[in-house]
Amino acid sequence: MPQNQRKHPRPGLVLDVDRTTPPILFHHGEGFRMEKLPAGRSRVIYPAEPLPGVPNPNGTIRHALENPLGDSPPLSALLKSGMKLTIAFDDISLPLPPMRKPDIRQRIIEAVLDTAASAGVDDVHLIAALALHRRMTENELRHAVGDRVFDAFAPTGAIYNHDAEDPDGMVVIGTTPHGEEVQINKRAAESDLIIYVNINLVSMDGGWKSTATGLSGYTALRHHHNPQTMVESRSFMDQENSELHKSNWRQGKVLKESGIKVFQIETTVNNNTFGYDGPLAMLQKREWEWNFKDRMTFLSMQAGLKRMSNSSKRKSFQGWHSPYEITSVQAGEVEAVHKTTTENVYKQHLVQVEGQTDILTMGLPYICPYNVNSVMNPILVACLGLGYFFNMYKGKPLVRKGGVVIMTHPTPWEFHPVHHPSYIDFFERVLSETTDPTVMSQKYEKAFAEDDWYRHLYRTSHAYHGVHPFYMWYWCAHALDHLSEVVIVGGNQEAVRRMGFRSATTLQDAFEIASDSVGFSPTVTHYHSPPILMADVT
Amino acid sequence: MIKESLRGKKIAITGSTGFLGTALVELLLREIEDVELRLLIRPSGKRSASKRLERDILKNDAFDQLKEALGTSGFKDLTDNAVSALTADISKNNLGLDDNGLRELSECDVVIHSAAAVSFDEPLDRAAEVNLMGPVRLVETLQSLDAEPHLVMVSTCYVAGNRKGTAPEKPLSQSPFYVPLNWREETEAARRTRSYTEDDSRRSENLEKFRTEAKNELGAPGISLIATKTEQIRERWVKDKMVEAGRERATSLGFPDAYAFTKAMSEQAVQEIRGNIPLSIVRPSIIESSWDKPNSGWIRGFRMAEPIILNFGRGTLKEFPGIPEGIIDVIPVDLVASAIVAVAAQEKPTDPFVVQVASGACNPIKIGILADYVHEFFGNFPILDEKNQPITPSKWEFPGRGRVVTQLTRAKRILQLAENGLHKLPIRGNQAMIVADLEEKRNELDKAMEYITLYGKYVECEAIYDVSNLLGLWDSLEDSDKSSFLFDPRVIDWRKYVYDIHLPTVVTQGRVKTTPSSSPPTSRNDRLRKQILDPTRQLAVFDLENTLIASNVVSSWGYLATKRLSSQDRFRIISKTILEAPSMLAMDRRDRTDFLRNFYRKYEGAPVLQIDEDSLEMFNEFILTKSFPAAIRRVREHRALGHRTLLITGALDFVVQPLKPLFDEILAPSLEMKGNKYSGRMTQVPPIGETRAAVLRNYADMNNLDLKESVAYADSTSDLPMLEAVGFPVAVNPETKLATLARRRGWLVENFQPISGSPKRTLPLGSKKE
Amino acid sequence: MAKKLTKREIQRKTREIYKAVGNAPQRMRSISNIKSTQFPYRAARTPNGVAPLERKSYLGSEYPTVWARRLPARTVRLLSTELIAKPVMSYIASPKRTGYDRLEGLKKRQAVIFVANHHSHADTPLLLTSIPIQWRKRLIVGAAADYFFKSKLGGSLSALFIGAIPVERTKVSRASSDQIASLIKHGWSFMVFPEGGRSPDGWGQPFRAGAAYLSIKCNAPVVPIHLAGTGNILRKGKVWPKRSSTKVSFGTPIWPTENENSRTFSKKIEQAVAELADEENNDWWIAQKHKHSGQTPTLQAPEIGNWRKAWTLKTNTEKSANNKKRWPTI
Repeated sequence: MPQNQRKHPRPGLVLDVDRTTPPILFHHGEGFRMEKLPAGRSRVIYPAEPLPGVPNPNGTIRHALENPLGDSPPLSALLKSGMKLTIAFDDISLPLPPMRKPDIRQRIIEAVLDTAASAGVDDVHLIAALALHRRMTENELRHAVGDRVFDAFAPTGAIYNHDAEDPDGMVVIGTTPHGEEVQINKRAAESDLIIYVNINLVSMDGGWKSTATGLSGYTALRHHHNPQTMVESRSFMDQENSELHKSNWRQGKVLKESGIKVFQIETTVNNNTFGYDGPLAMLQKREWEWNFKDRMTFLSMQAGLKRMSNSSKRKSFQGWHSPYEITSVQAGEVEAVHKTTTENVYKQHLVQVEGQTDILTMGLPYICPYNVNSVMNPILVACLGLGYFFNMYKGKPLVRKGGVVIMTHPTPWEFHPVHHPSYIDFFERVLSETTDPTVMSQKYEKAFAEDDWYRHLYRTSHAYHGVHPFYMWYWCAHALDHLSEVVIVGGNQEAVRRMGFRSATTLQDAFEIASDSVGFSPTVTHYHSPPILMADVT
Repeated sequence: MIKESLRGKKIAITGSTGFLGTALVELLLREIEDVELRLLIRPSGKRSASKRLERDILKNDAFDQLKEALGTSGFKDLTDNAVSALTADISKNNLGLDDNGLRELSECDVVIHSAAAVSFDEPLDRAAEVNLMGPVRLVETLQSLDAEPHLVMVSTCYVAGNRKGTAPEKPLSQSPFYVPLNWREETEAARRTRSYTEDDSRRSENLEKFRTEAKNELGAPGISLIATKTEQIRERWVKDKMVEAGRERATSLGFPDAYAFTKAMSEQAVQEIRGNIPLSIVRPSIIESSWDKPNSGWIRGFRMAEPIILNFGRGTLKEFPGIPEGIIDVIPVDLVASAIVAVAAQEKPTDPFVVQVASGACNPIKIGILADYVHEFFGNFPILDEKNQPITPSKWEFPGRGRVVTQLTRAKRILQLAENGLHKLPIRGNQAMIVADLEEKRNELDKAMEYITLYGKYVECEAIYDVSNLLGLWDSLEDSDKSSFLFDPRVIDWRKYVYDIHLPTVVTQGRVKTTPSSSPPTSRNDRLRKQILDPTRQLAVFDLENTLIASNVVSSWGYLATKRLSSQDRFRIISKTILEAPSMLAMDRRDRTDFLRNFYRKYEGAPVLQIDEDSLEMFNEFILTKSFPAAIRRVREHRALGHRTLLITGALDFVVQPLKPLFDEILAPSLEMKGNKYSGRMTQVPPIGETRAAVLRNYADMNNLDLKESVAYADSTSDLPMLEAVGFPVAVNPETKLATLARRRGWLVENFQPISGSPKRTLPLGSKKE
Repeated sequence: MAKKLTKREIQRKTREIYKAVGNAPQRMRSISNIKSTQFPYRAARTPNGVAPLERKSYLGSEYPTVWARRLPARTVRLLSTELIAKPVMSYIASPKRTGYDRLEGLKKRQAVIFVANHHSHADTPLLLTSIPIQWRKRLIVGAAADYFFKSKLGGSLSALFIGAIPVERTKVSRASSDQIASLIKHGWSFMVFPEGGRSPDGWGQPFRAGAAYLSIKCNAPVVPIHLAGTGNILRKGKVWPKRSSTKVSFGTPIWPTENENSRTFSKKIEQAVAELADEENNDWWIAQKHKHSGQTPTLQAPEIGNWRKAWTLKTNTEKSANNKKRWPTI
């Protein structure tokens, strides 16, 4: 049992800050900051400690495959020789940061293929369910499915990235009662069985969202990836009142009725993002529990980071692979599986919090779903802060209506030309005109979505789809509508101003800026993540 | 007395399209009833003599007063019957007149000869041809018609040469410092120097010098452009040599410049051959805008002092030679015209009657005072720079001419050195524009040097021109003539003349910005961009390297070659290429096509399948990271406007294949195939330099597109032929040479950069793959 | 060690001594060379009539290797593997090692029996440098008693440098297997080539049940390993090694079920190694399908004429070495 791992992991903690509380660790992109929060009127929410992983992952997986949940027969019964099988798995955006080898997808796919081999299934395709994300490079695919599976399937072209813009590769199944078209990958639609291998990092992932969104294209996504749905999703992380969830489930129903059989395999991981012992172990511990070794490694890291160049910092941070452990594996019928998965996710992430505050501060880390092995440009910073961290709540947001969000991130004016070509033009041409998501969606979205150059890059290069920057901005729609002010500390001024936020150099200045909308002694909540936490606000 | 004696007379005037000529015609038409004017006019360009009379003379604002007085129809009748134009050319025999012209000339009572090549830097032979042989041919023609009209010749005070003390109103031969001149000898010598200089310019070492100068000005844009440039430089060299010959010859004989020297010779020549044609000579000094007739401050064209005053106002000319106590001899144009008419009205003198029209003797103005007036004027009405900020002129310190010249030459040398140094550096884009600024400053310094060498002598000569004959003539006039023919210099009030009359006209004529412009100054680049992104354009041509992407032929080969090599082989191939780099660079500077042909040999034996597969990966992993997003956005803006987009590059077709969706057509060289391997030989000449322009032209013809309505983006002087072929050239991240050319020709200069944050790679190596 | 002299040699020796001494007075001068060959400078012969002390020659399977398992020998072995064997093997064999993730299920202290096919002497160093450090720290290698432990020197060297332990090839002697079993129970992992010896003709030989018996006895998992390409380095009968690329692939550990007899278990182990070979030649997916449909090609020679056996063997190795002439030529 490693030194920091506890037999009984403690749940999340809401710490009321007083004069004795030490400075709190804020993530600052590829770096860290130590900030003192005002005493007496601020609180810090700490994530729960990592739950113990299952002792024998492969055994658990085999067990889950053979006794599925819901009305689905075991996998071996489903597989017959001569059938057409498609295995879809999550792309590079999960888990965050990427997991140490062997990846969950490798374990599950090898187990499934083993059963398929014994059943004598020959026609098998492995598809990375990208939706509109960038295509995975060969190394990323090897990391996900393992060298053995990749070397077996790549030469015959049986493992490939989903192509949402391939005219004869996509098919529209039908429309939901609300008029939302349902589009899915033709190979998946025609195969006798779709096995979806899912990593549920947050409560939003999984369920019908995997197949209805992961394997579909722009014609289907535009119906729920738009400002209205986003604003009405009173946090799309919380399924009961998430408009996005309802729309995905409607599309899922249409898929189900059209005779497509899906065998869903969902896994949850614990919060062991930085490892129990190792160079980054202290990032997962509470500040007052750091021992001498932790403090020394932290100080030496801070000194080292000061001297490194941006690109070498980025390379070293992106190189970090988290030692996640699998906490649960469920397989079988989609809805039954998703219910248990959500419970397991909540078990690890939920923290009870009472009441909202005027200000919500958060330290944005170096990674978000869309910049793995890439550059986090300003739009992704906004999406991570206002799109993901802000929405990690059940019940009510952590900050009251008309409150202020303060985020710390260097927000450099830097883009990755190969991965985010449409972001560059979006930032240059669209954001300079308007930052209002609804105006933007009416005026510019169609041109970007149907642009030939972006479509060419999406299909042949490793670029995110032309319309993706718009979705990133719609992700922040709920927050933009809810908050009165957004302040970024330590960011590049032009980039921050271009996005319509206020820029400050220190946290105190940020409080000063926020004072004209929330007064001079506002109540503050600090969202101390990663590791991931979700606030259950009553 | 003048009006009566000239009424009904026929007067022939040469050089009527000049500044003095127009004033003379206007004065005669206004004052003398039913006078008949015969104007000898040289047809220039497409316009015939009568058309030039109509357009150049009568349309001038000098006749506005007359038009108001007589009404347009009245004015038209007057000019129709009073004025007639004879096509003539004083540099030809019989002045180039046809019979009718000769007949009309013979009937004239008075002939006023004011035609001259007045610019101060005329080549020696042209000055001799016009200023010296002109009057001689006029006299010979008159003698051949055996007509004896009263010949009034307009000369210049400076025929007296650089002397100190008074210059008498006598023919040169009788003036004290007379230097005997054999004018026939001089004309022959001038023609001979012209032919010598022409031969000298064709000597091989000079031609070599011209070609290298053309090459380091244009880079390597291909043979035809270099040839035209070399020819221009040769002609300019000949002209400079002739001007210098003229100036040296004039200074060796004590004259300020070729103009004064040839005028002096013409005076002697005419006196020598005039026989019994009555001759009088009028010698004005520096002629400036009119005192009050036809309207005060009237001027036509730029003469001597205006560029100096304007540059001083703009602050580019801080120093000017000349001594404050020195006299600057300026005379208004209407005084000179009146004096000429007065002289013409006298009865025909037997021996040559000389009159000098100058203010130096009777009403002198010192340079120091003139400088103060100018300084005061620009203090109150400053010239504004492009940012609407007033430029405050510095005080003139009047250093000696020597010091000014050394200052300027030192500054010029430093700028030249800096420029040559920067030309060597491989800098592009904004840094390259610094070279363009340097070049612009150096041009200004050249101009300043020119003014100084040209006008320096006039300002320094301290001769006082005696005006006793003029004043004698003035006193002999009745009052009625005095009011209409004012030519007494003493009447001029210099402060009023300089401050209220002359400087305002100089400023308005110079079209210099003195009032802040209301609308915000849309930068020149935005205006040019609006022009380019205009639906009427038809074609947009793009170069690839340093225009769309920042990689080049060598790095794409580096990527493809090392893609499937083990690490030791990589190390070996890198070291081998680094050894070859200097020779490759030198060959590229010499001629790009040879370089490409030689470099593409390296693709010999490369399997086609492997190359095609790797080049797609190269595009995603390497070329896109070095692309300029702004450039790609510009291509797509052109397509959105309906322009046809075309990519012409020296890179191989499989390298640019992934750019297909951006362009309607891609013209790139391709390699021959031997079986399933590339053979390393190109199928056709790569579209580089001149071939690029030729390829573009026949592409435009094939698709009937108008090149004048199309846009071209390129980065180096080797693309100059293409840039010049299209109507709207754009220099992108230009090399230093192209930067200076673009700035001089007013082309749009774009500065596209790769986006910050794109992954950097020290060596163009392919990621490993078995 | 003195060699037993034959009768004729003794007589020749005595004649030499007498000749050297001679009967003349020089006897005194040559005493020195007599003394030099005299006892105790030289071992004495056992006098006649006395039963010679029966010298216990601990060779073959009785060779004592316990000293090789103490700390000093272990550290020497570890250092020699890390500092010498690894660079040499990476030069000669440039091995491609796969399958380590399959071993992550085993607990830290678990003793394991490593089983591999055997083509050449290069197999042992290749395996020693491939097995992860956590097992190599306490690892004994089954070596043929009659081959490695024939002489004292050979025995001590192989015990010291590869941690060898004598194993009877011809008959299963209880002594050596009991000793190994006790060691395994004490946490020592055991590496063995169940075929008993190197393959004479490049084809596999049937697996002996020794490893299976031990695994059942000590309830230790068996890790099948397949070595490819070592045959080209140092085949049986060759003297000098040749450079060639090799592949080492680890299989999933196999646990003996209750009351399993060693014969069927040994068949299962052989089957596992054959599957690894199949995965190597084709790919993992085809190997899985063969495994489940029972068509995994066996490692042993098919019953065809021996020239065709050699011929088919050559075509397999042919496929792997296909470095055709590459562009660009440097």
